[in-house]
Amino acid sequence: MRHDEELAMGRTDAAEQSVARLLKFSGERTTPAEDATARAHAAALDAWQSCVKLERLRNRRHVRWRIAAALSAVAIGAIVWASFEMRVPLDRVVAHFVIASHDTKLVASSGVERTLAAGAAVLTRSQLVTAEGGAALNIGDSLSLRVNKHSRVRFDAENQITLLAGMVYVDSGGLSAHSDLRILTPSGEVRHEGTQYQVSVADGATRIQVREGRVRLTGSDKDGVLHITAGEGVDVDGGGHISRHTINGFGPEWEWATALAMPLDIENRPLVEFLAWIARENGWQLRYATFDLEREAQSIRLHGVAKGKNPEDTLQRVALLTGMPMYVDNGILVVGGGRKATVP
Amino acid sequence: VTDSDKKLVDRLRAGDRAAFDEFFLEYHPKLYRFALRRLQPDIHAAEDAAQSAICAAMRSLHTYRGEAALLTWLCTICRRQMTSSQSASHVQVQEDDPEVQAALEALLTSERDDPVSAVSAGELQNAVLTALDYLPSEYANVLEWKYVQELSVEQIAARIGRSFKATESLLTRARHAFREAFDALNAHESHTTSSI
Repeated sequence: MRHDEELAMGRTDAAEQSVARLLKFSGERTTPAEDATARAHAAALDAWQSCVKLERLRNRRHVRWRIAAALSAVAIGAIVWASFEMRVPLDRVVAHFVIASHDTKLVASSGVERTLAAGAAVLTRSQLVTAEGGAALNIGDSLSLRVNKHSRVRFDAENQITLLAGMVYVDSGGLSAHSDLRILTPSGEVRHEGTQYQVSVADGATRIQVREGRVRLTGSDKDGVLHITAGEGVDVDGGGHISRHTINGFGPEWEWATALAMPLDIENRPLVEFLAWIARENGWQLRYATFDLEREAQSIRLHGVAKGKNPEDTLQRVALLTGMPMYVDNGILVVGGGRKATVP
Repeated sequence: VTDSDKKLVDRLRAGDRAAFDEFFLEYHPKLYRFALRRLQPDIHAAEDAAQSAICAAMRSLHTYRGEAALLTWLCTICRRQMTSSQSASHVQVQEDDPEVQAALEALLTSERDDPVSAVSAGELQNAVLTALDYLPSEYANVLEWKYVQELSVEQIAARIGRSFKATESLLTRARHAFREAFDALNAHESHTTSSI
């Protein structure tokens, strides 16, 4: 055995011996007598059980107090909020202008007319009045609201407008977008479910035309609900009489809305994105003549400016730029193929 | 230590009967000894003090925050109970000698201040027994069986239902724990041991 190991063992033995001597010297620990232990046990058990009961009662009271306190806080908050709302009605920003013709007016709730510019905010309770030109606004992240000429729209609240006169077009941004909008008309409330549609009001009658998706019209009495799907139009006259008809999702009736669309910035965008955008804006179906052409459109990047006099003109410019033949036939934008080719 | 003490108190407050039994078995004898050291030779007074202290503790479980060891908290309650009994019945409570008291407080607060420089045999016995009471019962029991009752490791192993090796290991840990507790009471270990 090495010397340091012997030393360590020696130290351990000495430590154990000193503990042993101390404990032996002190003797056994005294323990309470059995009867005293039994008495103490019974008394302590009784005290503990009472304590547990009290504790449970206290917890229940705490819960009741917490609920009462929470209810009081809510009530106080509601009173403060209500009194504040009554005193100072707050106008909130509900939309922003994208395009507005020079003769479009926005009348605030105070009656003051505001000048308009792109990016200008629209507050609740204000009224938009168009004359010979239209206006386009963004509501939320993805919803585009376009107001035709000779129209009047009141912004009642976030995601709620009243169409007092004229025509509006709504592009919700597609099925994946969640921007909600309620349009109040003389015939009831119009709501969309991921769609493009337009609503017009004239002489107490309401017309709804759906280009894509589905729209729900809830009657003013809240009883009748009407669903209008893509390719359908519904007219509700002042007497509440309803007539349905089929419509085209493209053509002259929609051109005013397309004219108010924000031009797409094509710089460095793939051709497929531009084609999808222009087809959606015009209510066209997009069809590639071959799968190879679609793949080719994905690889082509656009540069410069693509803005013509009208959508067909814009399309022709893009066809010239890319060398990709394309044409529109009865609401279908065909990419590739030989008929009606915009590029020979 | 305080973490497991806090857990035990939480279980008690939640109404766990097993926790109550565990608590009573562990702390009632310790409280009794704590009281007896101050009230001796009056065994009955010590029994009463331990009983009233443990009942008072049960009633004020919600005040235990786990900031001190549970035994420290219980001893404080016991001391208060004895003081009130003393004023009611004029019984003289024998407080620790100031030096042992200082060493005890040092143990309670885990500080090594005011080392005991000279202790009498009785004070030393108090210090050893106090140190034992601050150990978990399992440690104190095996030390007592081994060094006071002089049981062999095999006999202790049979009593606690463990293997020889595991019992040896338990004894080693118990000795270390006792040494630490005792050193907290008497910082000058060498002086104390030489005075035996």
